[in-house]
Amino acid sequence: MSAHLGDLAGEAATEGWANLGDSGDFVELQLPVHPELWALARMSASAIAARLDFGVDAVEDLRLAIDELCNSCAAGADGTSRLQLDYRWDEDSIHVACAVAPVAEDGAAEEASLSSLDLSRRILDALVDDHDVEAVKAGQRRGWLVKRRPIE
Amino acid sequence: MVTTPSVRDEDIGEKLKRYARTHDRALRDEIIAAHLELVEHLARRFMRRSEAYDDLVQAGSIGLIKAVDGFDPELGFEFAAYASKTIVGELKRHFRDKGWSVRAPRRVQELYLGLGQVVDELSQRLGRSPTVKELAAETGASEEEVLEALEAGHAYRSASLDTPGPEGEPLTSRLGGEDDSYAKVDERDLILPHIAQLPERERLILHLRFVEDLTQSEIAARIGISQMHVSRLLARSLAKLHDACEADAREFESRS
Repeated sequence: MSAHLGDLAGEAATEGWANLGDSGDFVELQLPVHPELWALARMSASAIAARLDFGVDAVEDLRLAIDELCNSCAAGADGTSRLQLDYRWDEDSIHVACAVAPVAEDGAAEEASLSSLDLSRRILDALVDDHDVEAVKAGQRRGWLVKRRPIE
Repeated sequence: MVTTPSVRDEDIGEKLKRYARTHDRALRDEIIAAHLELVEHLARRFMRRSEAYDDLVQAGSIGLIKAVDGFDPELGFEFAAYASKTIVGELKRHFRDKGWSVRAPRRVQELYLGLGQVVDELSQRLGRSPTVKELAAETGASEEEVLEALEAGHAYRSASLDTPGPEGEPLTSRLGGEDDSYAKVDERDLILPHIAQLPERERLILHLRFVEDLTQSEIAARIGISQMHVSRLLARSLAKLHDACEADAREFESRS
């Protein structure tokens, strides 16, 4: 499973990630799906944003957005699931990809989590510049977001 | 309920009204000092073996500070009752957070308590949202400590449905049972009734952030509280909404 998640960065050929190219450093973080540990995910994102001299408003938006991304990707996860986050950045933007596996592909569970996913989507619309959370595929759900430096 | 004999109610009432208008820091400290006995009283109720009393008082004091900052004297509620619920909420959160072995150390908690004012002052001085580097320079803390302090105000995602609301009752009880109007709501708008259950100020903050697209600093200036307080309320509101949605999901699953 971890090998599966480990391919995340390479596979994340989404529109948002494609713009970033291969330049720059990246950070990977892998966690159990325990929401109380998402503090680590928030801290990593905010530390990167601080390095880029993002203002506190943007840092706080990113912190909330990471919660939403983790929450969305973790819908349908169980006690054995792992969550992986990949962080990449350039001078003016931070890109975060998230994957959770295993995730149930049960239709009823998917339907039941709709309102929470919908809430996250609406929140992410406001907090970040670009984002997406994919449907469950091969027992894994992936999502990503891009936060750009706000124009002062 | 413990009383605060050193301060007459009418004095506190006046001070709270004045503080709500002026945000005078000395006045805030006076109000806090006058209610520390209440914190100590409530902390004793949560004493458990191996739990340091001082830590509980520290956690309860954070609740008291939140109560002073969040209290609206115009609503006509008694401050001591309001503060008791906030303090108890913070004590419960203290125990919940201890489930995670890396609890914010005291120096970080203290930095967090002072950071709100620094953020607001720097925002005014710079005319923009300050960076973490600037906050570190202003407070004399390291950038890492500032990040830790910012994080200390979050961690609401792990909040359970038993976390008391501002009126003290669990969110679950405020959401109530199913009724006809609820059942008629389109599935995609299941969130709306939950938003309606939030306190008015939290609804306003959600509206300003997500509908009017104001930044947290702009919201803080608009409603007269600190940016960090906005951040905390926003995180808490979103966590409540997710909890409510997840409760819906559990109910849906139990029916299917």
